[in-house]
Amino acid sequence: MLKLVLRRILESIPLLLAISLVTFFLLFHSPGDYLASLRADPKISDAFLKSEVIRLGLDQPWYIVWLKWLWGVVRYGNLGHSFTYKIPVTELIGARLFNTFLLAFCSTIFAWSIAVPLGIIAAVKQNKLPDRIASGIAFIGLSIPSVLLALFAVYFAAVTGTFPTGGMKSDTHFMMTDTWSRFKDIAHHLVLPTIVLGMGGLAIYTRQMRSNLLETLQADYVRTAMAKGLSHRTAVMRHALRNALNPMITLFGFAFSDLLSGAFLVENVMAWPGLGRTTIEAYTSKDLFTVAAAVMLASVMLIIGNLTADILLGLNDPRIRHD
Amino acid sequence: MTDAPRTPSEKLTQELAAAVTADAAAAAPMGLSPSALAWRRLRKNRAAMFGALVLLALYLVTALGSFIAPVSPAAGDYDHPNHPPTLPRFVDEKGKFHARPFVYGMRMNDPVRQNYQYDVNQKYPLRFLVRGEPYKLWWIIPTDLHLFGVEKPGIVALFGTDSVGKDVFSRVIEGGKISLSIGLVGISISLLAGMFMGSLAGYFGGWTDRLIMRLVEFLLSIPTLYLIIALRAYFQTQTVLGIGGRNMSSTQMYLIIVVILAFVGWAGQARVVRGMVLAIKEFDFITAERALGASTFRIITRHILPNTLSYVVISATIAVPGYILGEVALSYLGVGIQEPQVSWGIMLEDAQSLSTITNQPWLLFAPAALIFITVFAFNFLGDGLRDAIDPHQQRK
Amino acid sequence: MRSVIDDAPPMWRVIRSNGLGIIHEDERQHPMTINANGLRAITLRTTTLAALALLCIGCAPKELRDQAAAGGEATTATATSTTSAIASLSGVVNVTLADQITSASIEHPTYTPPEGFKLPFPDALAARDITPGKRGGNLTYVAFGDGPKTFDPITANDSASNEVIARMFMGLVEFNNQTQTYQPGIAKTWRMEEDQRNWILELREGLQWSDGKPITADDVVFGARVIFDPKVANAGKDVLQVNGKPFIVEKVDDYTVRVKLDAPSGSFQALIGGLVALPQHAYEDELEAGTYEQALNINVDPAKIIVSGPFKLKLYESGQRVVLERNPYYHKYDQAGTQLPYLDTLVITYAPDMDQMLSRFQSGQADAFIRPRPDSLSNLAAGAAAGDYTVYNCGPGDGSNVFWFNLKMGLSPKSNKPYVDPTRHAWFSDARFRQAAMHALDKESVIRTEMRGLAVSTWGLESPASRFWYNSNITKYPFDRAKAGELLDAMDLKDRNNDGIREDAAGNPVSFTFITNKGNKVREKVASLMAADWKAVGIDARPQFIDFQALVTQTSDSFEYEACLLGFGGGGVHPANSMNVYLSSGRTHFFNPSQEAPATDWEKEIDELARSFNATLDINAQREKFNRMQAIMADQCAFLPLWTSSVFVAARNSIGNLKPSAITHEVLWNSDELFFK
Repeated sequence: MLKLVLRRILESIPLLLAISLVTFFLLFHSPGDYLASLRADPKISDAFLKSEVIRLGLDQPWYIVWLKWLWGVVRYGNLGHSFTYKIPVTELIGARLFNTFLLAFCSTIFAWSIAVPLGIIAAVKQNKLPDRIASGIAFIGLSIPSVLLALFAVYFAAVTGTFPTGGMKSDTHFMMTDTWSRFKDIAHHLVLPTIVLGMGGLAIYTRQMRSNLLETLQADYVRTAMAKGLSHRTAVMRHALRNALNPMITLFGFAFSDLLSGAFLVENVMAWPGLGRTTIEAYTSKDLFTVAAAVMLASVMLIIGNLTADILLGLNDPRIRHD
Repeated sequence: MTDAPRTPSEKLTQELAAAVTADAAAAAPMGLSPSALAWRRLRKNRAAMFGALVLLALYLVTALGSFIAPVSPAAGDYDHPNHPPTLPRFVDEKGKFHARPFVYGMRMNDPVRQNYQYDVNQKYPLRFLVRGEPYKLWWIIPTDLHLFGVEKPGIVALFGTDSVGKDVFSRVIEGGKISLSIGLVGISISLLAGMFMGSLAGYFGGWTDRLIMRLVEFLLSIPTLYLIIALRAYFQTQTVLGIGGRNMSSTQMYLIIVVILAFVGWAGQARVVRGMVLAIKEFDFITAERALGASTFRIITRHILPNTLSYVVISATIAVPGYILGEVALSYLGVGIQEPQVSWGIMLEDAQSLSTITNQPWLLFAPAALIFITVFAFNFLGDGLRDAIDPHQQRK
Repeated sequence: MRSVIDDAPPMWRVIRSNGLGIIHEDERQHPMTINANGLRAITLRTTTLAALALLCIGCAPKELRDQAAAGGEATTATATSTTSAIASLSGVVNVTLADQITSASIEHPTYTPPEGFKLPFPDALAARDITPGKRGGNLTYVAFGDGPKTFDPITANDSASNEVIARMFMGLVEFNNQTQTYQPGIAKTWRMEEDQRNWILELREGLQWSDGKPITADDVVFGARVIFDPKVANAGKDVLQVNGKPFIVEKVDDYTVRVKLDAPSGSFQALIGGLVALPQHAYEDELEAGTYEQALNINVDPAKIIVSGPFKLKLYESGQRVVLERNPYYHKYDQAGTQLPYLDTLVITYAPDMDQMLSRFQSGQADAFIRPRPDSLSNLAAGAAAGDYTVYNCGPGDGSNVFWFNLKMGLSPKSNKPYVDPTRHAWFSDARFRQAAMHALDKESVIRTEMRGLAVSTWGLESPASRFWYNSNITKYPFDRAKAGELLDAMDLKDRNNDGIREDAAGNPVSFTFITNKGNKVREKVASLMAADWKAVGIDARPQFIDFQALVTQTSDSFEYEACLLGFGGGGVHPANSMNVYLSSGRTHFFNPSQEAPATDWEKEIDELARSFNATLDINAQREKFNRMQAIMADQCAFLPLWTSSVFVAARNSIGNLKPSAITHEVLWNSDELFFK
């Protein structure tokens, strides 16, 4: 197992290199640069623009900029400075990353805690009403574009006033003195984004849980157990369920990393101060190193997620060889 | 290198692929081809058949688009902005019944709120097969015949109009051309690429395999949306294979969107196909064929690829909604199809605001309902197909 | 979101943002563009806004009346003009300002402490014309975007940063949005010396930084030193200059500063706000060490940000909100002797789109916001009574939407091809073609539908908001397809093959593409409507939607485009701010920028007028010259101006001393005077 982890980490190095290379290439070859906004400012002189180009290193070919950035990363662990904020990008992104992480984590918990029971009901009552209802919910969840769902959530919040329409904290949060009310405040803000973001996954995992359980229910050992007089309920709970859950656990890693990178549509509609919004804004203003850092971080998350999944898969199913 | 699935849906398709390969052998003794068997099961699945019928109807209406749409989707009507949906009436203000349905003349009485009042003295009877704005059916047949319409300045806005008076019903039909085709074209491209690369990797193994799989890993490790946005911007100024650049036509724009979506999608397909090919490769009949001296090309095209076909059909059905929703996400981010072209994603993006929900709900619900229905139907059909081809799920 | 360059420089920093900036109005809800406004400088606006509401209102009704006349007899519908429509929206209040301010009152202010004020020391600031309020309370203002990028008044280059910085740093002079005049700030008087070149600024004695240290001439000189430091990237150094020679700022004594100019400048008052007083004791070390740009970044400990304005930073949560608290050393007092600001805290909270702003305001989480979109205005107004708030119509803003053809001649050094295809260039260069294009546009209908009648059609670059400088007597090009057709016929552009599109004698179809920035839904729609209007007169125009950054690169760097549709941010109403658009050598003379010598006679005439404008010190003579410049521009139809949107402000009724205005900052400009009743 250790060997696997080590090898996967080694393997991911060229992968990350390639991703950063492509990121720099695309950023340099898409139209406009960071200084475009200064160019449209009538009072900025050409001389100043030229000095800025040199100061920011934008006069060099993209691969040189990439190499210099890479050297900074390898030598000093420095992901570069944000052009816009003039601070190291790690400082800029850190807080945002945590917010996105929090949202993705809650959504995952939400999706799984609903999907697993729903999948079980659907499988046990296969082709009966509960199954149809569960499948219906799953299909509806799959069929609504997430931006639309987010809009409905904002509308719901605006009309009923039961939840905040957006954001992560109240504007009076800073006045709250005790930890408990601060915690409650954030939890209150988390509810709607969590549901909206979790909805897509919820549908998929319900279907997955259902088919896993159906499969194990047909397995010989379950049938044998039932033939021996074990009640259906016990057979499901004690034998089938445990085995049906195993493959689900392996999905956890992927699901989580998927959410991390996929959260930004919801972040945008629901004003969640996450990584996605910063990245898009940085991209729009061509804040080179911020975009590069955000893409790298998201990629690392994906890779870690995949790795976790592989490890879980290996632990669960010794038949899978990692060679 | 493991074959661990990367996403839940990929895991589903992997299992499915295994089932399909197994099915090839299982079906033979019954004297029925696997596809005939599957068709039989599919017909019994009411939900799936319903989905299929809905899709058929949607595609049919879209194909006849310009004929069914009463006005051009691009034609603004400054006298009727944000006009609510009106159904033709049979009964007039005096309670009199009219065999031929009609609409009242409408007048806006408040430009800020954009309220309308109808004028009972102006009735416009609904006419069928009327001459209207000229258009070219299927880009070839020039005609000006429309299924229905009313005389100007009357309007028959089945789904209402938008902020500059464009008819939403006509726009939904026009938008369907893009939204409904984007999935089919996209999945065709990504499947072709995925099958090609996947079978190469699976059949040859060794370096080819490693190289292709590294590429696949690479694509799967980049956060999809960032990649799409970056690629889209890249094509804005750079020309690749004659596509893109400053003077991009709307067709090229459409192609770029599809190609980008497909480019992001093929990697997953390639992984699954590779796995299937690895399994099929070990079948006795392939070994026999190889022993008889058949060429690699022949083995791949004649034996291996056909055996993955049923997987392909299902996988396509399951993946199409992803393209439709992908187009919606792109439009939301402002990097999809653009005005004056219209798609459901653009219409949805356009209506994405609380004041629209409150004041002009038709602008949001028309495209939203169609996206929902289409994706729902594809999911039902895909689910049915999966059940039909994978008989294990049906047994109890 | 409004644009990209800087916009709204705080009122005390006039200069920074000269010229027409670029702004996209009405697009505050799209996630893909960043928030930065077009440059909006403060200027000498010598007018009242009283007539503006009328102007705004006058535009829509004609078609409606026509429609009513045509539909004539026995209709159940009643056509109402926008006037009564806005009036009928209970809750919308038209902002009118009573006094006409003469230009003379801003020329040479002198400082006398008003009578009846209980000032703790003679030079303390007196808050004039306000209702004395009570201290306390927390005001939440919801703003668009992702929040400030820096807290540095020198390097800030975007509206979100400036919005916050203007609350934290007091200017040498302060701009009063209500009276549209400059008022003494840190400087109590400023006057020209007899050589008509140098200016003397007298500072108040007894003012203190938020750490208790005195504010002196050294801090003003230090501010200038930072601006002109080669290591500090900022736009100010390019503005604080005459004829390419930078201003020299020297200390005369502890409370007197001399600003030396190379030549007399008729626009000095428009530039004076560009000088910033910065605490020398706090940041000199950073400047010496070359790390000044880091000194006021968003992650700095709030205690290290030493300010002179009403509020100091308490907390910044990236992407969420800025919390400002009262600066205990702020020396402004009301008649009753109460120290300002009244508010304990001011929260500026950030929302990514209009929906979020609207719902936070309506749910009571926020107390004020600005510029609701036209489509949400009726809902907003309808809820006014229940929500105990008012929507203020401040009249047209100072930005506008403009179209132009690329008239740049010569070969592009990159592709070695002409910037614009020579055939098309010949059409574009013909004033008749541009006039025909203008006549072909049905602006009123677009305003009536898409803008809900809440915008004003404009015929020149200056906004009607500026009554002193705005020339209403210029050539107008009303919607007239026949007239457009005649002009095109006269150029021998006729539909020779009956395909609906005109061709020239050689058979080239009259077609062009025009670029505009994507992400602005309104503008995207308008672009396709314009294309349809042009098609109706036989011109095949195709819109292209590209990223804002890419657009700027094309219009200001590569010049490889045919025509462009864009929003100009109000450069403020003082002509000094838009001179670079009129001057043929200006980089923002968009249709043919950075010319070495004027390409046409009329551009030459404008150049000469601009030069004599700057050398003139009499404001009325200046106005005549500027009127002539506007008239020439309109005659030639060099820019095709479209419209200017009305500015609305929504705020709770419980806020006292609220004085909403159409120019930046619409609500917070007098944040030190706001209080809760």
